Amino acid sequence: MSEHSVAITGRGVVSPIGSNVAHYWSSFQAGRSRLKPTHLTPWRRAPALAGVVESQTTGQWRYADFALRAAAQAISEARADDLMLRTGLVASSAIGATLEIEHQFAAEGLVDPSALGFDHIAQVVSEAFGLGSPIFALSTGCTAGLDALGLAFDLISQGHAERMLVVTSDATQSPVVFAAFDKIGALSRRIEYPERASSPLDCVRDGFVLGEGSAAVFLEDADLARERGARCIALIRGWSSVSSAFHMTSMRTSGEDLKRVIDQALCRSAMSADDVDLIDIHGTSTRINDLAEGEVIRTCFGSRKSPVIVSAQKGLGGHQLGASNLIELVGLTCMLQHQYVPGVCGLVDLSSDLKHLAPSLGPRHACIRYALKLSSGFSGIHTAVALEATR
Amino acid sequence: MIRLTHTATIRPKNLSSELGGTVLRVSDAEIYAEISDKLSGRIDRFTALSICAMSKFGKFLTRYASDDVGLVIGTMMGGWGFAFRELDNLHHAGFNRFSAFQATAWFPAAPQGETTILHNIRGYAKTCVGGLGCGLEAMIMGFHALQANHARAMIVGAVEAIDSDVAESAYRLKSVAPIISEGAAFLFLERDSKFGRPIDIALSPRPRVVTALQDNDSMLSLAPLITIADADASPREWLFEKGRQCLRISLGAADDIPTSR
Repeated sequence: MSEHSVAITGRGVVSPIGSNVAHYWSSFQAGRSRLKPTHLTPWRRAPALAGVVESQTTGQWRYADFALRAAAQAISEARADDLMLRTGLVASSAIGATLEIEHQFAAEGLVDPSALGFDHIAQVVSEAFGLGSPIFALSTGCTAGLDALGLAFDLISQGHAERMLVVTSDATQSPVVFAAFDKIGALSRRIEYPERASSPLDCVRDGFVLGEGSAAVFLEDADLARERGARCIALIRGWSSVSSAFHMTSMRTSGEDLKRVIDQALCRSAMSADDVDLIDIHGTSTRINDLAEGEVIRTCFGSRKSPVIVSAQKGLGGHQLGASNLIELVGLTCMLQHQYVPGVCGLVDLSSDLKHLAPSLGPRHACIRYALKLSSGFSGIHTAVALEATR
Repeated sequence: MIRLTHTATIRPKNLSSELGGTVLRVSDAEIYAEISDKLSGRIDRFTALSICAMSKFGKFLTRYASDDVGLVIGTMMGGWGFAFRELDNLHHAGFNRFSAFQATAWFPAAPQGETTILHNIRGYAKTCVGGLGCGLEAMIMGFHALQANHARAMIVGAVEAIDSDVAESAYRLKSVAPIISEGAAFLFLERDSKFGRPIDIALSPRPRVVTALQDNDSMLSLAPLITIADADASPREWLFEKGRQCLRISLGAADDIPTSR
């Protein structure tokens, strides 16, 4: 454990299955998928599926709009409105304003140069809420949310900051985004069963569904949070992030890189594999990801007397790229709060090569003290965060 | 103690400009000299500049287990050369002409991914984005990563590629310098080294005077890194402005052997 204990005291979510934490948790519990056909892939005979956020409430660029809404929720839940000048920010996004850039390009053949930078949400969020310092912006692909959380955790735990707002956002509903992932065969073609199109660990999984959204968490030095009477939703025990140096978009199915990041995250959290009650996997619904995550669960947790419980959330609103993992971390805090695991959303028939996971799956009430969030992404990054429930 | 042991920069050699005296570029021959044709076909200038500069660290990386080395790259714009070409392909030539490498060439983290693969860097690797201070932010992140035991050695730096008129306009929005230059600058920081120059980085209250970067202000986010890389052997201290705060960077004298060993 690090020198300063770090607490999550506020959360916010904007997603296809709910635009606040309560709605997200309600949909997650019920396993309500919100994936539907999109018109953004005219090159296909049948349309692709997508997870779409239904509303946009400001005139900001779409991903910034999501970020502002998620950040407002997190600050509100933390009751931290009067602490903004003493709060720093880490913002992240995988694809920035790509949606707006493509719209401009398609409509006018010209692009607003101000859209090219990827730090726009850091500017917008810091100005909207009058945040202090430090301020960082990251862009690390599909681990961006957890990477931002990890940096903020380090800043607080090392005593460089007292409070940090972490926000991540991606707006993906744009042809070039679908084309990029469709060209490499990453998108599901199971248009006929939208509720099972994103189905991690399932025998019929054939790719992910692009979703969009944002999440925010408010982090505080736990002692300072307690002093001001803030509610500690969960504690962050520690985290780790490694690079696979293997492939820009693929991963080793042996799970060795995932094992490295889990081992390091547990070590840095002063925990062992036996302590972990629940692991929320990346669960993209691709075969390679399933094999790697299945294998690492076997190697890290397979020798335990009681199986580690496994959950996955991309079956609900799709894969929101950089935002997905922080949205799912918020979902994980809900599981810790309610001591209930909805299971692997979208999973019906477990893949034959993952049968060893069977005891870990399925919705259940459970005593969950420690949980891991796992995420993998573009450019070979794997990131893991360990959480502890608070009573 | 954390030490600065090696530096690597790539910057325009010819100070005569190509576009009305306002944009300086690194020559293609220099950038692509050590990049295979196969690789150059799937990356853009932004990633190529990173690979070119970081190739100078190759022999030093072998001193560490691959898990112990990390990387943080800062950039103001990322790379758009590949993405604009593929946007044009998708909207005018169709999906069949659209490149499968769009998914890997277009993100700001492309150099991070390609260089970790090329040099088998398996530790902490991140890409930070921002304004003129993002090179400093990469330094802060790398420094904190060493302090937090995420790695034993960190490569930190910044890359900017002025690969289109739109990119040039975008840089102009964030820079007041009359001349802007592309390039890459990396510093090699080591936690346990006995050699090199001790380096310390600390956030500081806003001072009344901020270090002037007169000679390097065309170098965008690379400017502070190049200033540090070019520093003479005597101990130095700089105050750099980063957003609403300042950063104090202290660089001590080299111990035992020169950093250029």
